Amino acid sequence: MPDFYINEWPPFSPEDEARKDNVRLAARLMVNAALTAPCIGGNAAVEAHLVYGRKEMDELAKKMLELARENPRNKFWKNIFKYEATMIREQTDAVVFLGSWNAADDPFDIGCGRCGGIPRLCWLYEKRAIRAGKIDMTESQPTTLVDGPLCMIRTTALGFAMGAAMWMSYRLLVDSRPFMSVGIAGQKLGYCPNSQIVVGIPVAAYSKNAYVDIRPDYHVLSQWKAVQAMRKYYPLFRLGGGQGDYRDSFPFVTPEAEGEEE
Amino acid sequence: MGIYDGNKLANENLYEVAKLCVMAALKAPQVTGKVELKTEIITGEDTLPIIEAREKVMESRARLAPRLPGGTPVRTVRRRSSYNLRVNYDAGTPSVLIFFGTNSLIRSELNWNCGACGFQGCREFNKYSLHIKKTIPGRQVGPTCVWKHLDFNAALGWACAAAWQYNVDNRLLGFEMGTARMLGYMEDYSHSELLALGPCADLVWWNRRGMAGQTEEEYMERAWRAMPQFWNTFIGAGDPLTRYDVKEFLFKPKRLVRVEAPPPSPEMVEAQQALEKEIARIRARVAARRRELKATKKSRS
Repeated sequence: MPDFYINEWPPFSPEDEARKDNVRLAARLMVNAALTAPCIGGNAAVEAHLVYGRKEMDELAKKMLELARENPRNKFWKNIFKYEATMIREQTDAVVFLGSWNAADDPFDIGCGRCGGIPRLCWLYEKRAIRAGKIDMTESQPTTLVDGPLCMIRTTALGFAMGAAMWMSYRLLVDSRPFMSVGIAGQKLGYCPNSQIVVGIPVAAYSKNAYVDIRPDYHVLSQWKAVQAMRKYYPLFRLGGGQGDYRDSFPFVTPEAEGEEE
Repeated sequence: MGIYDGNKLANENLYEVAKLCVMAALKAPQVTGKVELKTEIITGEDTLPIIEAREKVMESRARLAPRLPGGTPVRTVRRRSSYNLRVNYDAGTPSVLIFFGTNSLIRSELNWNCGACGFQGCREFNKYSLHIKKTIPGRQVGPTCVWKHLDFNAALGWACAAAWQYNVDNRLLGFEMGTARMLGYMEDYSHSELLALGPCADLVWWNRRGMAGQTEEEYMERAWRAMPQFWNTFIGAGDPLTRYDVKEFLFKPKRLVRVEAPPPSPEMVEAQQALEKEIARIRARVAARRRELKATKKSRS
């Protein structure tokens, strides 16, 4: 009979990979939950991408670090991207990307006014190139990270999908959290290829939730950095205070110390 | 010890489930962590004004609805989800209603400057939002921060899922929320939604049982009006709009036949005035009920 030995340590060992496999199953169910979430008018509006693997997580983290420099006007932006990139690289087993593929070019046309604040007006049409009564996305030249504006009814469906995926993850007791940074980076890497807005939900199952209790300067004070520091200093510990050859010598114990022990 | 009517108790328990739905919505994870929710739960006879007001709106619309060759108005206009609310109420098992509202979405303190809203940054978004607040009369409905909008709707999704976990049929009712707002519910919030829970039965809010009783003639009238719209715009309920020119569509909704938009007929004006009168009457009733509940609470404390 085959057996599965599962342990989160050491990282990337067969036992850790077995754990990651379980998380991927949970992530697949999260995608299902997202796709069956309610959508306005029963209109399909959401696409999903499930990504996992060490190389993929590393690429995603690198893209996030690139984007960390994109918004110098915000003093928190850099930290958000750096810290969350660290979470992705070190402790994320899979990422669920959810995107709205018709929010920019196919609004729901009920004139709700949520995009522009003017009731009965699809403001979206004013901000986009129009041909034959349709939005022509080939003319779009965004200067911002997300190509807005977007139809709020379509993004409502994305919100429901995100909620459903999170609900499923909480029910399956895997840790997850929805991130803007992961979504934007994933979109730039081509995940959810038809979407104009993407939200990224990293998923993990560690003894310590990977996405909470994030302390300042997390990107240099993470678990991997701690292990790296340990690896750096541990050999130095071995170098210092030499006792000679362990086969024929012990640390010398003074008679006074021996007496104290008694 | 005792003998209880299980059906009655089950439906009474919808109120408890409503509280759990609100708990779920408040707990829902957020991308931004900045969306504050306000909620209200309405039960029993306090749901009646909303049902009545919705009926008045539907009656008013039916007066102006498309006519069949014999002159009968198309009934599909008034047989919508809200019809279920009336059926449930009359059967002695009224749905429990939960209102969710927020004002967090029309301003952004995030400074993410992502552009999803269509502006270059949050500052421009806030400036425009303030402009809308000052220039557009009535309740402000936008612009909307997209990331916060995701959070708001994820919270609603959690409320629905919480109800589902307890095997309670539920549905978010947009038109009914609009009517409730006319009565004063959540009127101070830019974004609001109504979640109807129960009664305890299978597929309460699906299969459109309220639409039963429709004649083939009525069905075909709606179908033929709607079908040419399928690739163009939201089909609506018996009165679909067409978008042959975007600017015109934005400001003057056009109907299926390409005609000049007529000025409101005396009948339309009369119907609108009658509706406004009815809504004002029900609104006053809701306000009086609120005062009564407040006074009761005060005297108890």
